[in-house]
Amino acid sequence: MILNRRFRNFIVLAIIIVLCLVVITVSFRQSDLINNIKVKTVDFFKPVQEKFYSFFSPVTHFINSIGDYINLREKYLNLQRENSELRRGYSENINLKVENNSLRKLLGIELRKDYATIPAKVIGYYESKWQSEVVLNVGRSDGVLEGMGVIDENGLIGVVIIAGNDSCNVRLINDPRSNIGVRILSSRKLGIIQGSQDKKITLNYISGEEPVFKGDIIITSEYGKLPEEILIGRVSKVTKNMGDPYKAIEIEPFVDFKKIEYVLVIKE
Amino acid sequence: MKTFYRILHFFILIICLLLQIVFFENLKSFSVDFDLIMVVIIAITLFDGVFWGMLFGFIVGMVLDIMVGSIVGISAFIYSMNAFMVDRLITAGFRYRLLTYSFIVFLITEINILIVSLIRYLFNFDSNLLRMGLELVTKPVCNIILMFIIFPIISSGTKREIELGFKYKNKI
Repeated sequence: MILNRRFRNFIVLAIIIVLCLVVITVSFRQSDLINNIKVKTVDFFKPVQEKFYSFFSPVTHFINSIGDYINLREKYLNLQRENSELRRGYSENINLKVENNSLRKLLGIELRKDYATIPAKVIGYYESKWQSEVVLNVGRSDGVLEGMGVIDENGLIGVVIIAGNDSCNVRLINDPRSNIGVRILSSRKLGIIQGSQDKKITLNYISGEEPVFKGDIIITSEYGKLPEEILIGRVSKVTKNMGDPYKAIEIEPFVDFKKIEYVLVIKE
Repeated sequence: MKTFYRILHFFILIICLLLQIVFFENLKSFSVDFDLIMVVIIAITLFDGVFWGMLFGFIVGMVLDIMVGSIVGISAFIYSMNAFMVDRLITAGFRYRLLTYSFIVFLITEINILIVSLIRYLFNFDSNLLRMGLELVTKPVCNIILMFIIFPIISSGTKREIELGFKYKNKI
């Protein structure tokens, strides 16, 4: 009897291993079947997940705020510095705006139109070494499709990768598989931002000769599925390694991914 | 009655899956990394048997991968293997004691981290050794803490309660 049971367990394990290998292979080939199952599962769990998230959100926000208190002084000093710089640039910007508007009128070029958006709420968060994703409470029934950008009041959050009927999964810009075409606002140079396992965002393919400064603002480029000129973050570290033709640039995103609650999906 | 407890344990597992996604993932910013599902799978294997541990591990792992995973099937494989490994450890002579449970959770967590890293590496993902090292230290501690909450919940009402270190810990 014991032998039979042990034999049965080995058979069950063997079946499970074979099944897993088949599923991993099918998943790696990005088949439609797996995607359809993903969409159905995400939709099925959405109502309960939403309730759970609402229930636990005060606790998670409290835990996240502990980290903020620790860095409060440093943040305050940085903001003070930034504020004085912004004040200095403000008057200059007004003059430039007036000049820009009159030149646009002269050339007959319209101002860039605002894009339509769908408001959404975050109902799930998943982070591991290899991925960073959030789940939103909007889906295909609201007009959300794969590839759409997701933003909040601070800037770009990520891109929709799975759109279910009533919910969707968003890959954050610090996910190791995230690649987004960007521009450096000041120099207009093009590059690609990528996430990493340690959740740092790097700006790649910027030539070693190109001047890049700490604090430079990064925006989305016009080459890609996302609308242009969405704020992403600012350059936090620039290094040049020997023998590397490109600079190693780290980006500090404007968005705090741990705190996102309400977002906008850009409807293109 | 046994069937009732198995169904109940499955529901607990599903609730833990949702808890993992909506709550425990948010704690990772402090290098606090809990694997609630793994702890529940170990508990189910110990108190319901290896067959149910493997089966529930496969189902919940698959659901987790489908909901938020990058490679579907990897968690299902890992959790089923966890159940099998726990059974092997018990067969090898590990007794039902609180200290043994802690060691099992510690060992399974370490093996999990190494297996997942290896599979990811084989599938051409980058591996960050420093982060993995930190995980090898912090994750088992977090999971052992979870064990003290989860094991009494899963063990309550099952026949093997008598064998539990929790109930007769003074006599062991």
